[in-house]
Amino acid sequence: MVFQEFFAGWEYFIKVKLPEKVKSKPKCRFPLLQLPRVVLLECIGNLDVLEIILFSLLSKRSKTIAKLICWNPIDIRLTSPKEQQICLKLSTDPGLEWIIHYRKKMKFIPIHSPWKYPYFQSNLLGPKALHILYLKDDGIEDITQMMEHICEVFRSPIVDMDIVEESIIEWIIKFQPIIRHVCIHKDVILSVESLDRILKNLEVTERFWLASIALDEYFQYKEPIPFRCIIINNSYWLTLTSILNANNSVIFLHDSKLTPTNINTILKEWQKGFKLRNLEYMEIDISTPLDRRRCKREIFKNLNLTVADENNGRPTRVKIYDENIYTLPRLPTVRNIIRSDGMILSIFGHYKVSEKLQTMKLSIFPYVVQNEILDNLKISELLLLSFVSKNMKKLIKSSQINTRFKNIKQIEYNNHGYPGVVHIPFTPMSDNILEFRERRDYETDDEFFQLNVSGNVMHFQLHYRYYFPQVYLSHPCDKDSAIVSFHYYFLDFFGDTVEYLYRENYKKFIPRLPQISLCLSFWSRQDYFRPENKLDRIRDIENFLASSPVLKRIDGMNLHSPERFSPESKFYQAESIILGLDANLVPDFLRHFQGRQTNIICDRWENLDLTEFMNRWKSGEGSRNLEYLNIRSRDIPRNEVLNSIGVKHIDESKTPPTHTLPKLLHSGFGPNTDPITSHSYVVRKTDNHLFQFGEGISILECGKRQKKSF
Amino acid sequence: MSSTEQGTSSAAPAEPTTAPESAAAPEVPESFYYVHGKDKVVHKVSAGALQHSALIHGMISNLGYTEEQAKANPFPFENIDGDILQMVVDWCNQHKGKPTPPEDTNLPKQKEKLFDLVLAVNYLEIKELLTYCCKQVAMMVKGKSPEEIREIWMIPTDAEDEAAEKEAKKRAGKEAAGETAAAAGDAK
Repeated sequence: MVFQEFFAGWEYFIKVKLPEKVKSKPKCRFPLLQLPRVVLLECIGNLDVLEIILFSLLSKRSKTIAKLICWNPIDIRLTSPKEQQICLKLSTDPGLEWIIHYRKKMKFIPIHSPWKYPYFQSNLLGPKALHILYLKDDGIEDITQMMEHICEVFRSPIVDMDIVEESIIEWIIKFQPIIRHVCIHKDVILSVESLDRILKNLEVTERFWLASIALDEYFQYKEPIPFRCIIINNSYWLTLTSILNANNSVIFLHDSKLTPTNINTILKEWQKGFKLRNLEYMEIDISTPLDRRRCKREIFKNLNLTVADENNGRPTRVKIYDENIYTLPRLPTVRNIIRSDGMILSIFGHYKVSEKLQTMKLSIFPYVVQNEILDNLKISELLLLSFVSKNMKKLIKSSQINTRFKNIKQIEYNNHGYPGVVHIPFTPMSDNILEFRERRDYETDDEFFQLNVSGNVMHFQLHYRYYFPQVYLSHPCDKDSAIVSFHYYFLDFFGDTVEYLYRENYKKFIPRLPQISLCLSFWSRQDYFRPENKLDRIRDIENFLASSPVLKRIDGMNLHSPERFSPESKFYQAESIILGLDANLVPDFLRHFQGRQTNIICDRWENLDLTEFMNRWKSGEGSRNLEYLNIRSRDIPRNEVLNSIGVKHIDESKTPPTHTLPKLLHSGFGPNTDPITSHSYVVRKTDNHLFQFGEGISILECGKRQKKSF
Repeated sequence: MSSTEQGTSSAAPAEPTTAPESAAAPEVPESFYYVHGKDKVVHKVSAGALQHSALIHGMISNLGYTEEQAKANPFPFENIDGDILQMVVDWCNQHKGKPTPPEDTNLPKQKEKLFDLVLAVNYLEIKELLTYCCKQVAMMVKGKSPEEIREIWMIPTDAEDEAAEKEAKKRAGKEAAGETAAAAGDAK
């Protein structure tokens, strides 16, 4: 009754009183537009850059008003460190920076971040103050519209553009074809036409930076790039003709395909005085098969060089662009060439033998050498290499299928934890073949390389330490389809003699795939080996197993149910089982288990159960497949048990044989069971197999071996 | 101008409120003038304080009133509310003969009066106070979202602006038609 009254009162407050309260809350309102024009403009003139932008976006009228003010020129830059940012700086106040930061949709909202856009944040960065307005990234069109708006309100041009999408190229060519700095990100240029369009329609007055282009390796560009400073990563496509016909002042070419002879030509042409007359600094990074001496000889061939051993008034710094000043290396000697007008060109060289820069064609080696090289690569490296081309995949397969691949008995998709792993069981972590991870929201495509796996294009990185491939998925659900793609790839690559295991937690989705067997894990459940936490009903487990692929392993199951599995259950057919049991369930399990290896943990047990089991085994009536049995219990009277079974003993003076098996159980380290060295054994009458007992007090282990081997 | 004359002639000047004297009393006797707003309350203000207002300063220098004449003819500002004029007078007295600081903490705190204060200060041409007031107006939207700015500054949306424009055109059209009809009637 009291609660009813309370809730009635609460409902009244929410429905009636609260809206009144909100409504009646005095709002400080100011009819700005009713002010005289001069006063209005003075008020607006006191707003900061971000406030002006927000104000000017309110309506056409507010935009017109904002435009009436004569703002100081503003630096407008579009940068894309990870997410898009419009950075604004007043020329009169370089210590202040205003940033409009477009946030991509986040899967998880950081705890410190307000959930509603827009929101402001101010940071101090050394002597600089940053005022940031966070907006939601709803696509590049919003951002370009905002850029246009800002340019119009402040009557200032864009000074710097990071181009991250091909569509922006057209926009900037139309909106502002003359620009100070441009940086085109990796793989934005996807066609020769795009490259041509940007180089011929955009006038970059200061720095043009181009990261890798996604064009084929034989593409060559012969036209000049007519910008003051060019920085080109992966510049394999830029030809000697292009460089000689341009009149750049600063040139950086990384990963260039120019040869030492080409560089020699550049130097000669410069000296003649007709080409590269504005050159202030050039840096070319090439890889060459020539050794240091031959390379140097080729570069300086037929050049009238002088050697300088001191600075000699040579500039020590060079302006690359704006405030970007490069300090030249101080070397004991440099080579100079002199042009007819007295201009001196100093040449610094740095020759580095780098594994990264050395390339070789694997396919031209003899088959035996190829095999030797491939044999020295890890399985994960072979997998990566197989994506290079169909021929390479074929080569690896033909080289490895009868050797290393034949020795791979199992490949396991382990989805039991995070990250999901594909590995060869019982090998170290460094031998993982693959890992499945989730992409974080702030990661961009630039940080990954893409591979097509059975028609499914996925994003990859290499493990920071062990260099095995890691697949980065946008959503956890993508993992299933990624595994399917890889499974078909593996069937083709490793062959179908490998056993593919799919380790997953109980009740999780198990894909139906050819040649796949299930390893069912209960480890993640809180109830393993705790009698107080009952496992789900046996009937539920039976149903789950009935609809699952071939069951190979069961790990970490904890049975304390009065219910029993039926003797024909799939449960008993698993090859290996690790489980906790109630004492009354032990006889049933020992009687019906048809698999090869098992670890049992039970709090107590009856000697008679083991005696009965051993008698059945000796007579050949049951457990014919059993190779390994490990029972852990609080107290097993070992001698009493052994006597009741009627064990035989090897002469103490003799060294007993050591027995070990390839491990099926997902526990402990290494590929084999711990070695058993014991003087006690029993023999199966029907086939003379031995049951050997481990030395441990509470451990009984058995091994299958022909008697003659004693 | 006619309304000012009406104000001074129809209402007897109220008892002048004494303005706070500046801390350092000038040696030379200072001249005083009188102003009143819509409420007809007359404020006595020194010539030094009134120098902040370019409008009043111009009027004083042109008039050359004696003390008695000034008392008899207070400057009427019928378009300024009494309490707003009081704020302005207080500010002028506080800043009499002093250099104006870059930030003023003596600004009236009532935000709801700010609009009238800005209009009054603009009318009276008190440049420094106008600068402070405009800063205060700008401060109203510090850290606010676009919608909050729209609400605080009562900025209509484009649709509202267009509707208002249409309405104004319609009204103007009607008025013009009315005038034409009236003119035609007169001609008949």
